[in-house]
Amino acid sequence: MKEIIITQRPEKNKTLILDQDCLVFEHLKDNLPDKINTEIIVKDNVKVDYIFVLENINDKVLLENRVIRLGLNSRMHNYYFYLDQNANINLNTYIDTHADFQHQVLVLTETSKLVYLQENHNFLYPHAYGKFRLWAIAKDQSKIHIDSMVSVKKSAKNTEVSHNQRAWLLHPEAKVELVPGLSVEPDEVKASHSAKISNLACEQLFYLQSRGLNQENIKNLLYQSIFQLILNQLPSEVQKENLANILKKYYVNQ
Amino acid sequence: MSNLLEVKNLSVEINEQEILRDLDLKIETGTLHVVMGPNGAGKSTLSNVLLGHPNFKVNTGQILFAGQDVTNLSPEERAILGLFMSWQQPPEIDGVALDQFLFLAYKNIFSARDKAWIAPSVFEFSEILKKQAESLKIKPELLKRSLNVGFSGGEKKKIEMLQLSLFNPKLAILDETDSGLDIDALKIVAENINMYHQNKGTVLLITHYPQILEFIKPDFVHVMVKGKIVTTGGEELINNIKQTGFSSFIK
Amino acid sequence: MAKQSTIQQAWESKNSAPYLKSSRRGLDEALVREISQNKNEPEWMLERRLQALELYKTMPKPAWGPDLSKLDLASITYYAKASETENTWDEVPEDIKDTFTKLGIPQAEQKFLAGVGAQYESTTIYHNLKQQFKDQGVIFEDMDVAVQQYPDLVKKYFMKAVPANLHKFAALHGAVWSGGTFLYIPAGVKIDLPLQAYFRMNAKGMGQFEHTLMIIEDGAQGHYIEGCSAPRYGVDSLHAGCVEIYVKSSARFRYSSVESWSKDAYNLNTKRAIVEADAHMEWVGGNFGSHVTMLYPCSVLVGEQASADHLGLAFANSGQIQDTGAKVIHLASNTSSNIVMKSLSRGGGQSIYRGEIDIKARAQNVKVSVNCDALLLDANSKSMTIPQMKIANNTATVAHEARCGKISETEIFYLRSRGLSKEEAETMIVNGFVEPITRELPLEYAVEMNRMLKLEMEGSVG
Repeated sequence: MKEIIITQRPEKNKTLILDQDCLVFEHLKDNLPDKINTEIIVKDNVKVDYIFVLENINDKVLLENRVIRLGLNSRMHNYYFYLDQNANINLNTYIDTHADFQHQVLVLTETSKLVYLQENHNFLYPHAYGKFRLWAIAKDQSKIHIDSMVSVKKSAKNTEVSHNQRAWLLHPEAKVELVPGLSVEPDEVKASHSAKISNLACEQLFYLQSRGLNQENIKNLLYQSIFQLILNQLPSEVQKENLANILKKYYVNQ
Repeated sequence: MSNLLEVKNLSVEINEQEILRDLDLKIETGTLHVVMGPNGAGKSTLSNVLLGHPNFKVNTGQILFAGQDVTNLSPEERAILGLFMSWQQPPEIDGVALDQFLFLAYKNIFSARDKAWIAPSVFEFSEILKKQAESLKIKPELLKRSLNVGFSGGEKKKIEMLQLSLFNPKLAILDETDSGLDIDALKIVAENINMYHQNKGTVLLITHYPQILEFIKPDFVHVMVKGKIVTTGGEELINNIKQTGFSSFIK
Repeated sequence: MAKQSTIQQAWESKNSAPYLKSSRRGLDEALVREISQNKNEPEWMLERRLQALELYKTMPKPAWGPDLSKLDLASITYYAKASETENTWDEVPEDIKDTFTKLGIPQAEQKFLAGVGAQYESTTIYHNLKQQFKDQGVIFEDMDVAVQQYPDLVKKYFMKAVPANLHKFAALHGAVWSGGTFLYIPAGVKIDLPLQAYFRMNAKGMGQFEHTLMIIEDGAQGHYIEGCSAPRYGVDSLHAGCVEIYVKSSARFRYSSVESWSKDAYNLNTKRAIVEADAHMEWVGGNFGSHVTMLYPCSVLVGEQASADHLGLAFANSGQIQDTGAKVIHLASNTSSNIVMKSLSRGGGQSIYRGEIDIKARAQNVKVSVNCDALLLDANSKSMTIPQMKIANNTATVAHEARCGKISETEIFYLRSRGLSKEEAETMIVNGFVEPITRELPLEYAVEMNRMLKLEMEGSVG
């Protein structure tokens, strides 16, 4: 399969047209662009795996408006990693008939970082499938705000969507705000969503502690487990290893 | 004896796909019939169409029941006429109390069958229900709960059998088409069906699995393949199927 | 044809409202002074009204939620006086009584109720409280009367839970409020029968701004239930009521309401409870009527171990937007809340669940559970869920679950195969869907709610 590697954002607005099956690996790790607008178009019948990694670069904020358009019978599996970098991102997606859209997002914040995501996923035509997963971990005095609306429009009969969010607050001063929105117009739709925000439950902590782990061990264990969940879904072994190496920077490997 | 059920030249489609093709079937009052066939033969479609499922489209043919053309009747009209199916997996309906559902169905069915019928009061009905439930060893607290929600396989079957005796149908259709048979549940069905049959009830059992026939003795066996009845015979057909499966019936 | 709902009949039978000739439309300082003077209010209440009016003038309509641009605030009648306060049922005027008879109130009173306070437009016309509760020091009064007779209590609590600066309609309410219910349950007194009131909008372009103020002292218990209905008129009418409930330490209180305002009304209601340590507040609500409803009962959990339950049901039929939900603010540790919302949409109606869970940094070990189910009854309708969760404490556990879909065809087919008609099967499933809410209501309200549902299902309303 074709691989597209992106490590720099262009200075100007950009449209990325994907017209053949491919794996895109977008990795921002050196410098941040100014506010940008990007558009990604997945053509009819094309299958795409898209990995996006935003690493901890500096104290600036990544400002982006991103639009994704999925063509008829296309497939796009997104794996987004927001790794401890200030970000304010507006994502709008438009999904065509028989498309399969999976959008899995990991957000990790430390110190006093702020990640603000505003997502609107629009199902416009029938028989599409959407799966939305979010894992958010806030440490220290950081804050994560995710406002995500999945809309199934009138014309999108027989659409199936599921929307799950899971957040952990690992510090007394960390903050999380979630809005897992769902809007459904046609009746022939399967739609569900759920969200859970918590720390490790007392008894879970106690169990782990009774097996000789300290608080720091447990946090790292939690990180590892969550990362593993996402890594397991990545399409290629090479990418799994690649990502595992990147993620290592964000916890202490025990 | 007269035919209680007569299916004539029935062709049925769903989503523009033809599932039943020129199917014929006759069932005399008081007999016990089995329809068997491989997966995809259209057995579930047959039971659904006999009950009047709105998603299936009857293209040609007729279903006569108790001397009446029921082809275009609604499911509830058929229930009133005396057509009953025991579902293999009845749906779980949250919030609908079992006893309330039974009372409404009971009143609907009997008042439509007999204009002179006087409905029992809610108290009288609960007495009727209590007796029936006792004889089936149904825990009384089950009757107050939501229809089938959280019931075991055996409990669901007992509730189906409770309705069989409560509604006193002319024809009992047993749908046991799916895999994953629960032997305890099956025994409950077999016991009650045999009792129903001994009391002159007419039975149509639709199944894939010969095992169930260790508990139920049919008068007639029909083999269904690709939407049609291809062979009709007696008990001996079951041994054939046990030994060679359905392959010998597929041309 | 099913038996007509009593509320439905009441809608059809608009009583004449000649007094409106003398009432005026629109709002200015002169009107506010006139209301206050008419009620012979003390100076401090007039001051509060005028302060609220100033806020109202400067505040914008909410920028979020349903479209309110067609609501013409200048053409609303903000105050009308219908009749004098009555003490016994026999003294209630005949046409008004007739309406209440249709609404089932007198029979209900005999059977189930501890007392009835019914508001006819802006002035309460009937009030009655069982003697035993009076003897225990319970006060169940017309709000206007309470201002006169219990000024210290009113002064202390009035619009403290819902301050006039909360939003534009709270400010409007503060300026023109009229009538409503005042309930005071002294410490330790437990009232096991529900107290009841009925509100009704009767005239064209008529606003309704009743104020409900309830103080449940330490360890007291009570249940208040109100039904709201309005006949149908062609001019957009507005309801901007306000409910304030103070649930003191270890007290328990339940507030239930079945609202079925006329289908051209804007129901922009504000309800708030301040819940102290170890106390428990329950909101049970059913919303059927109105053109646009914006209603999000709010519990502010200020004391440790305080808890709140919010149970709600909304039915959006043709031409209706039901924007309802729940808001819980957790300010103290070990507080918990439980939200269960059910919505039904039919005939192009829109149901929106808008929720907010706000857990402040100092609130430790908070537990929250939110459950929303939406049922779409046809292909033209719409459902939306907007659950906001703001968590600033890492010991919190918040779980939110929601489902949206239509009635299962298999379920309907199963019930029909047992002799139920399609309508009966649908109604039975819908009743089952809302049963977690209706079972919390007193029997007669549950019956009324089921009847409303049935009417909505038949399409004979709206």
